[in-house]
Amino acid sequence: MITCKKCGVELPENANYCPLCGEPVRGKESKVIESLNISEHSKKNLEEFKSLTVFQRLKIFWQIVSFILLSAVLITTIIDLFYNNMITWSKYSTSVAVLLFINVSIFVFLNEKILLKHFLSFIALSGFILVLDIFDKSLASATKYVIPLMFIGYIIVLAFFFIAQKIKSEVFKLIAYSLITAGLVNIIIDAIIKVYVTGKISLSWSLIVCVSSFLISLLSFYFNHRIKKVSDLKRFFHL
Amino acid sequence: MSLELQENKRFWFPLDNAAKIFPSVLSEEIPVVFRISAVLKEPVKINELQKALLLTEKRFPYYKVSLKKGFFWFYMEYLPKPIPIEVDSRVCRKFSENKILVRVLVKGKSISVEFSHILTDGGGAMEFFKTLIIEYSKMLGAEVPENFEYIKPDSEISEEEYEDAYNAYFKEEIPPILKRSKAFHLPFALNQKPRFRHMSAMISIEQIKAVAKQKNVNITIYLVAIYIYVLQEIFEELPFTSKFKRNKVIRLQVPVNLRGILPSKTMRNFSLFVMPEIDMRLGHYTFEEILKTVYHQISLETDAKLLNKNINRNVRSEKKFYIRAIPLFIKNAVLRMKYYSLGTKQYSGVISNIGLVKLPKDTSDLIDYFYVVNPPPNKMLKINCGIISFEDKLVMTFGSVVKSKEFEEKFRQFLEKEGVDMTIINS
Repeated sequence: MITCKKCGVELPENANYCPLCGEPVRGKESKVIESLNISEHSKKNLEEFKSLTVFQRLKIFWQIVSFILLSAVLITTIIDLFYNNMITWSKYSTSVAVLLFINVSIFVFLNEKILLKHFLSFIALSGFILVLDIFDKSLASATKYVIPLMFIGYIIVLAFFFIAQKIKSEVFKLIAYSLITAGLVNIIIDAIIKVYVTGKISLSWSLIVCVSSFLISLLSFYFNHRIKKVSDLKRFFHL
Repeated sequence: MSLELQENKRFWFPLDNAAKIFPSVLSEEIPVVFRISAVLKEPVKINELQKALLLTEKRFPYYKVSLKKGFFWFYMEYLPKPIPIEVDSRVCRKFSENKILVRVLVKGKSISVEFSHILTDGGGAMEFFKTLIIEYSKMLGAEVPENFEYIKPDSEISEEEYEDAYNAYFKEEIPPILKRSKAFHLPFALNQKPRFRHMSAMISIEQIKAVAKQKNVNITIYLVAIYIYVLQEIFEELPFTSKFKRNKVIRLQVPVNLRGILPSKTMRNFSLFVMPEIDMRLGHYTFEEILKTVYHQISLETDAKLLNKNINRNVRSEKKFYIRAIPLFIKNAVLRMKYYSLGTKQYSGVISNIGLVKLPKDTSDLIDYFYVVNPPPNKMLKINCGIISFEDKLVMTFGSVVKSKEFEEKFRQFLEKEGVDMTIINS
């Protein structure tokens, strides 16, 4: 008689693992491994990695990314110094690396707080653009519409993913919502650029895009509705 | 229709009358899930149990359903998946969306079933559990006498088993009953989330039967009276300034399995409550006085005619067209608001007795005892109690969301004083 070490139920004589909790049966475990010919070492590493929590795995990912970014910054700076005897173009690659580092850190360490995470990432990106403007005077005017555009972009994409998460399994609904999102993004881009160029809101091309994308999304909603069988409607609307 | 049920795997049905309020209040803390457990003498043989479950679930297709949202009502829809069998880790977890509303849980020597109360009550769940356990024992070589009555896996499924029996007993011209006053509630502070804990205690049936017989009552009435007596003690110990002293009626909700009174084969919810009470404005009650009034109130309220009146009251409202035609999200919001005022505000405690479990001899030999966990009480009710008996063992399980063990302790002390030993078996 064999009992499972973890959940305490009695297993059949020839069992290699517990059918209830998946715990391998001691003594038989090693035989299975030998027969599969997996080296102890790699299996151990793999098991160690598997036993980590999501956060611990993310932290490893963060360490690797930080290392790569740091070496990239060092290498580009050294090359720049070597050729030009001063820092010229490498300041751009360095600032991009810093921005990437900030974003990765935010996403790794603020795993749970979705809103805060995106807000901080937005602040970092805006800060980056502002700094670019200060360094490079020819870009100065860009901030006036780039940052509002980015802000709206963040909000709409976030809203879209929020909705998408709720309706995973319904493809046509997903298509419909993404079309609506695209339409809205177009209108906002148009509006912000018009305000920047002419000083007032006057929509032109985006309206056409928006109307057509809305129409197609309506069609998509209808499709989604139709593919459920008629009997579904009956149970859905039972009084 | 029963054939249709077996062949047409896309069947669905509306919720029964008692289940209608539950989906609106579902949450992690109010999962509306109850459990019946059997603790065996030997570790569970997992392969045999899996086979027994496969046999059993074929006979109960109407339990393989998940909860769905309609436009006007919730409904239940067949889910073509096996009933899950899991390691027992936490008691009475909420069922997630699109999952079958039953699960089987195993750990060491114990087998448990957990049912959503939306699906059925203790009476229905017990029939399922009995079939499962008997089939399991048969796999281990137990002999089951031909004439032993239980739902055999190869028997025909009757249409009556999945009907809404409340509706079947609904009569148009019966007057409604009056609303009850607010009842006293326990004053204890709540646990941290997740709040729910349970504690089971074993009592010898021989002992308690002897004591109850002295007072000329049955075990249920005896325990109900103790419950009320303990509540009275807690009420009287409160300072007169306490806000919990404002409601001066101590009233218990005691579920009654209607299958025993009104003939029905239904496997879905079919129980009602009787509500014995004492009014503290009339002064202190002795235990004998409580016994007497509980005995008379319960006998009066379990009268078939009066039960009909209650069914009528509950079903009447859902028959009205203008109520049915309200979209679900509005109904939900209203039911959520009314959940406390129509329900929990009216009673101080819940005590439900599943009764004596009868099994064939060979099957009984495998089992040590049973216990039952009521759906976790909400934060107003705080404590409830489930009772089940098997052979000479009566097990009471107190479900609680409060830190204090005062209630359970007082209950134990009272029984001890009466000469009944209470052994705590898990907590």
